[in-house]
Amino acid sequence: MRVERELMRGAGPVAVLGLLEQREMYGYELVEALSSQTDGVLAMGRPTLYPLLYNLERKQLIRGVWREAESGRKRKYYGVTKKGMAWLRVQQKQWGSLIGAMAGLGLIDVGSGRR
Amino acid sequence: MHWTGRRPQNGRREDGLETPAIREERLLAESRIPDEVRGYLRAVMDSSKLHGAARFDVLKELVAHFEDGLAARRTAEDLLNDFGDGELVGILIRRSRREARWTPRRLGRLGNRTADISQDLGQAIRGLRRNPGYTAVAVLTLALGIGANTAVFSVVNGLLLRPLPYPAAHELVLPVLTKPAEGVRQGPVGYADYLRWREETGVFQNVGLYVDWNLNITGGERPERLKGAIVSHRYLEVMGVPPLLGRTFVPEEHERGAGRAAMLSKGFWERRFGGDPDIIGTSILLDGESYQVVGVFPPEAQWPREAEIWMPLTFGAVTPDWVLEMDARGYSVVARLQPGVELSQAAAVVDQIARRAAAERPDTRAGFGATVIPLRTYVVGENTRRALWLLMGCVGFVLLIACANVANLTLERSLGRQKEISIRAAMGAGRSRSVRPLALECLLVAMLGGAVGMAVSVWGTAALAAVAPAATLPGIHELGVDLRLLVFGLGISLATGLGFTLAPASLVAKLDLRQYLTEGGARAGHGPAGRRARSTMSVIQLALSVVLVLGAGLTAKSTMGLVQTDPGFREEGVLTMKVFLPHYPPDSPEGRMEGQVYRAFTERLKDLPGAVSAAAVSALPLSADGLFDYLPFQAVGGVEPMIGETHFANWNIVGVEFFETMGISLSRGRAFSRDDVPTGPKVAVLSESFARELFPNQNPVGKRLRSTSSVVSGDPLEVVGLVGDVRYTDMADAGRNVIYVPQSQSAWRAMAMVLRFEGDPGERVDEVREAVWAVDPSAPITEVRTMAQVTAESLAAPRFATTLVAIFAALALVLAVVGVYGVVNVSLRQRYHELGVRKALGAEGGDIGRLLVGQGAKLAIVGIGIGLPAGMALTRLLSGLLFEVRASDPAILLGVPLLLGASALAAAAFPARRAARIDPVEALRVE
Repeated sequence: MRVERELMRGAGPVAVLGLLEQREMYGYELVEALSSQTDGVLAMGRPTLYPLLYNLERKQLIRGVWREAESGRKRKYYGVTKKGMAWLRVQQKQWGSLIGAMAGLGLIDVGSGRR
Repeated sequence: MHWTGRRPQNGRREDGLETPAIREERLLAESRIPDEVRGYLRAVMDSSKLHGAARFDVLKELVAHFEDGLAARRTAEDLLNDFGDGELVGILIRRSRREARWTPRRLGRLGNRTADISQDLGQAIRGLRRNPGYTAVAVLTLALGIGANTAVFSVVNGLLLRPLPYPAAHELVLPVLTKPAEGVRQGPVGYADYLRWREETGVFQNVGLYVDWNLNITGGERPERLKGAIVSHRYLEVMGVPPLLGRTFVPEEHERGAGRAAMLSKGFWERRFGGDPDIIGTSILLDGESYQVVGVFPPEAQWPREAEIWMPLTFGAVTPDWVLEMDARGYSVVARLQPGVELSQAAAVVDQIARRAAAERPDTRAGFGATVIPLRTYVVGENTRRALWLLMGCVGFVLLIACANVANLTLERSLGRQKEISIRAAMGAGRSRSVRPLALECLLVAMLGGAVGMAVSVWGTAALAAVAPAATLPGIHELGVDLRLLVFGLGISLATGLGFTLAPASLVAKLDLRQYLTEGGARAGHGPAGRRARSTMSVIQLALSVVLVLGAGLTAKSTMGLVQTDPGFREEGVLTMKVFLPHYPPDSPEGRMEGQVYRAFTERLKDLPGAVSAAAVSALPLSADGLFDYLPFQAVGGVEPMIGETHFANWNIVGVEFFETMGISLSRGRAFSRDDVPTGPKVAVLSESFARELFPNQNPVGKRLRSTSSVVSGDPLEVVGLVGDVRYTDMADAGRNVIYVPQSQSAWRAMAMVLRFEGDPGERVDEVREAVWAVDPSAPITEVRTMAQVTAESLAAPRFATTLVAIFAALALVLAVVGVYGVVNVSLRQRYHELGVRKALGAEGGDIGRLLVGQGAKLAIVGIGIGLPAGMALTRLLSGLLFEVRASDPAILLGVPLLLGASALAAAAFPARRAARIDPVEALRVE
């Protein structure tokens, strides 16, 4: 199932920061992770992922560093900054209360979510 | 280290370092990605327009992405599909990185918004620079529209809106007499009227009476003619300003036989006396009499406007009876309204009083009423005022057409930019944010157009002032830039920006982005909505230009009529001038023969080589100042006229050879001769129209008439001849009643001389002056002009108006035709494929051409269909300004649609010809 653009606009950055909070990742890894860990719900088009990363980097929510990957090739690894952590906490709270509210209305079943 | 400019072939700079381009290529070459991906990445980077380290960083990351994908055993094709349009990816990357440059970090929301706008503005500027063609055409079109509007507005502003230089100038009015039945809308006033208006109305704070009174000042190198006025007591109080220097007239100075006093204008005081503060109390010589200067008139009270000297009216305490005669009407009145009194109220009051006078004295006052004219209207003239507003309407239409044109261009351009707008929307920009760069671009174009337009208007205003007849547009040479004008210029530019932005923007905002994404964008938005918008715009242009061209056609026809009108005289070879006799002391030789001085001038002038004939005249054709206004006459011995049937005629004193010199045709009887001596029987020559009115169906020669006015002597005049009608005030003034009397029997001290030469009279000016001064060196000479110049000046105003309207109409027509061309041309581009298919299926080139011409024809028919009735309704406003042309002139009503239609078809024919030659093979390939 695909998520509507407007929703994706809000969810995309949160998802990306959430993933990067777990561990630092480079672009291709991130694409695969977004797709596999969300059953494709948050699978982001490549044309938008990289611009999104640059945008978050500009806002100083993430930081990219070039270093050698396991394969021996150099990759740009992105990690969450302190500012990004704080932002993520706020977003998590908001999403939590939004989902809670939706559940309270009986519109969604919270148990069906992964994670 | 320095950059040498050209990149060496080997990819190394002279200092041995690698160029960025080479570095990129090396990265691509050393990566493990197939050629198609390399090409794709080059396209992405090109469209990203990034530079330096940031660019290399992004490329490195994207290469890594593809390497990882290939390593994960995905195909290159699969990976490329994931990314999609390379150009779009590049633009998205550019935008995500570029924003960093614009956004101030800690300025909060406001800062972000400003940053957004400045970012969009930057984009708009780049967009315009990328399309110099569009920008130039749009800016120029608008500049013409805005420039023309601002130029005309600066005239309207200077002449109609800016207050006259008097304190509370809106309160100043001129009460005048009217005679609706004879079309007299602002006739001179009687002294008795003045007294009643002053005493009985209660609507005026102050009422002043004045008579234009010009006189000669001597003592300088050459005698000079001064414009002045004789004014009633407390005249300055009407204007509400104290004298600049000295005092105003005291009651004793208004007594008959009092010592002569004068006030000078500031300009005259400075020009003639160098602004000498000790001028008060000194004497100056006017018309041979000594006047004591008592004060200097303040410039902000200077009325009449051109007056340079004021003298007190000296009737004394008891007004003489003859002055109180209701038919002695040679005065003007200026009054200041009580605060809060409306114009209409004051007009009603003075009219009521005049009607009462008409009831009391029906013999001389039947049919007279009165009204008040605002000073401004009097200065500018009602016709000029209307003409100026109409002109403002004309240029307004031109601007609307220009807007519609630019709107069409912009629409074209914005439809070509859906890709960008889709990208913005895809990145989550709201609708307004998506359209904003476009709107900003339009606003920029409008502002640029406004700036260039202001320059155009400065030039246009100067050009207007240079060619405008100063007589019709007094003050045209003193137009300045003021706040109102600047606000107008800015406002009109902004309104224009809004005007031509709204249509395209709303259309773009409605675009279906999915349609763009699925169809690749090539044809999206060129659907019916776009076509309709373009056609509507074109129809509006056509309709507006129909109105303008109609107006121009009518005005031109009217002016042509004026030019071709027979003025009643022959102007070739005639030179004219005004000569003013000094007041000779009664016992001097000149004084004893005062009446004969003009005859002496005449004889002297006739002695000049090449001179054919010469004469004096009190009222020169086509410049009727000096016509003794409207005297009542009746036939002697006939039936006494019924009350209210008095016949009025203008009194013109002429020399013996006047008719011959002016080439005025004698239709009956004889002209004046030397035998018409002062002591002989009084004789007159009538204009044909007056003779017809006074002696219907009779031969007037030998008949006698006399004036019922006490202003001229009551002796009966014998009609000795009849001459053709002559246009006295202007070309449009036909059949004025004129009674000519010989100069030998009726002296007048301010006359014009007319002189017929063989050959060009313009070269004889100096000789003529010297000849006059040989007779009397103290007689001022003014307005030396050939009769051809007099005629040209009288036609200057209508010619000027016609030229302006014609220019604006031509501009409108060209813009509208370009509009039609644009619509058909776009249609050709969009239907290229379809037209190719038609041709491939066997359609002839002619059929295809006709298809497009048909589209132009449809636009023309609808445009004309709307414009013609609108034009007929609007041109009715012109009717009072037209000469012998009705607003519903059939030739114009037929010709204008034909002209517009033919122009529209011709505009459509260009793309149609190209369409006819479409190569079906090529057209089919285009899809």
